[in-house]
Amino acid sequence: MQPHPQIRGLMWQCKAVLRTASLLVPKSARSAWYEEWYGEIWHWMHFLAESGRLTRQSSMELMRHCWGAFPDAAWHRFDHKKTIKTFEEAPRSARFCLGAIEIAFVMLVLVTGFAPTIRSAFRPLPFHQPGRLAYLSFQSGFTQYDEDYLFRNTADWAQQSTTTDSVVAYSWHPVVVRVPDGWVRDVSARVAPNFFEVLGSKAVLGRVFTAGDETACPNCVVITHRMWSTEFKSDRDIVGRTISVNDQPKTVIGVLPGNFVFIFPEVAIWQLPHTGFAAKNIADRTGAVLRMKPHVSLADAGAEFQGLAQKGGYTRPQMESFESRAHQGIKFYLFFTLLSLFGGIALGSSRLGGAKTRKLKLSFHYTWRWWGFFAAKTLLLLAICFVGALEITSRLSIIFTGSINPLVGPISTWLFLVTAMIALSWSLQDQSRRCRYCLNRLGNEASVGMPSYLFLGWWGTELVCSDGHGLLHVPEMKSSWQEFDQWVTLDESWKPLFEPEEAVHAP
Amino acid sequence: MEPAVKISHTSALILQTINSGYVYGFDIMEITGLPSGTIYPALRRLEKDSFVRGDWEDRRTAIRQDRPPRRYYKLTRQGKEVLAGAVERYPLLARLAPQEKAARR
Repeated sequence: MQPHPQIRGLMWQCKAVLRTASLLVPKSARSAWYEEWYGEIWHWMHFLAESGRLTRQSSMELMRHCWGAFPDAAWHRFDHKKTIKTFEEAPRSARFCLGAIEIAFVMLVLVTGFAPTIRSAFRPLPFHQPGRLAYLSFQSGFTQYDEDYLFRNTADWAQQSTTTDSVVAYSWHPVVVRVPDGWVRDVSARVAPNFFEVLGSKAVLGRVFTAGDETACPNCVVITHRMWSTEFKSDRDIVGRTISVNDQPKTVIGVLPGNFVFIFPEVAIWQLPHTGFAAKNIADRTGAVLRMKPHVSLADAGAEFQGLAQKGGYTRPQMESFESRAHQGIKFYLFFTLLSLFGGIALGSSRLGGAKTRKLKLSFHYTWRWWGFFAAKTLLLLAICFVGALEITSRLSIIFTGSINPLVGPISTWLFLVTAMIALSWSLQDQSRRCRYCLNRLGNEASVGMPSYLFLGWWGTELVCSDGHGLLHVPEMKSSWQEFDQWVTLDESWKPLFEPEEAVHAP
Repeated sequence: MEPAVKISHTSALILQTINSGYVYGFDIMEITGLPSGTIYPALRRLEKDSFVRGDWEDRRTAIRQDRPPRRYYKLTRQGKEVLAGAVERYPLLARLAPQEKAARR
């Protein structure tokens, strides 16, 4: 049964498609299935070749025909009705809804590299006695301060202060660093020489800055563990090596521990201040770290430094403890999540929410399931909004500007609030369209009633639970504030309508 | 009394085509203009519901002529009854579906 020489190539392609499709067919029927398709193709191809009609177009048609073998093979493998039913009904279930949201959450966490900003909030602070450390920041937006002036001021405040042991300034900028693989955009912070001493941090390789380095080693830098491992491939000879930061040669004197995070995780290079050099920086990128004396409260230290900073010309100085800032985002999330949950439950069960179900007394089990599902769904959605708002804004800022822009904080807060409101609204809307018993999304929408009989009769949409638990009447137009969605539980007499069909009559 | 079995328009068209003498998949596809991905699964369902019966042609004949055997479909008694009901439901079916194969050739 040698194929005609003119069609050998085409026959080979068709056979390859058919063989592949036949893998879908159960083994018992595979041989007969393949034979039927092969027979059809063989005859058709020979007819075309012998009648001189085998053109490029007819060959394409033939190939298209071969691809039709896949749906046919799939028909053999899968129960058509059951598959269609599964595809139509599975997305309506509560399990699918929660599963889809969970997958979205996991994907988001993976995409953001396991949410480093949020993770850092849960880790113990890598500093000595972190409870005594506080930030002094200047909430002045884009007002610019002279860096040198700030460093000299903080040295003076440390001498005058009665509530703190030490005060050190910092100021950060985006920088471009030359690494073995090229150039990278990163963030660098200028700090006073005793900065790491105040924090109580040590280097894992080499050393950190010490007093006197500003004159003895003004071009020395300390790099983070992240930069050392990713950009310098954990090269143990990094100490003493010269790197280029903003085209300036700098000598690496140490590598910080992996858990060291200050301000935000992206600060990768630590430098000493330009003494006597009038470099300006915007207020939001500058600040100071205070180590309070033992048993001194944040309020006392804050009161003292408010006065000192204002005397120095700094507007709106603010004090915040290290521990408080580290957990700030989480507190904000928890506060808003609890508010949303209680607000959502209150709204969902009130007439304002339009979901009051008349004549329906759910048992404790169903009530628990109903609100438990709502809580789980809302919690996950808000978690997605939180992770997305916090991590993605930071990542985008680094991608587009090379640093954490001062606007990232307010943008991520607003983004979280807006997305959380959208998520909460959707969650409430979704909840109101679910069966009160099985939690499946209601379907089979039907418009009922007459618009012109609005005050005499009923006009709206009816949604039905596919398992026959009940109907939801949604008024098209509320004629009074007393009108709301109505749930009607279907009794046993309706059961035959929702039973699965037994015999297959119509293909 | 058994309720009349209702079939879709596509199935009715395929039954009408087979009834007109176009008895294998490719022929039916050419006449109806439906794609192979529709024709073959429809034939399987019709066969499963006993409206058509598929038979292999005699293998010896095929081998003698050095070609693979083909599978021919024909309407069962039940299939003919269903088709008659369908023609009543779809009066244009008789006009849409082809005339007898023998008459065309």
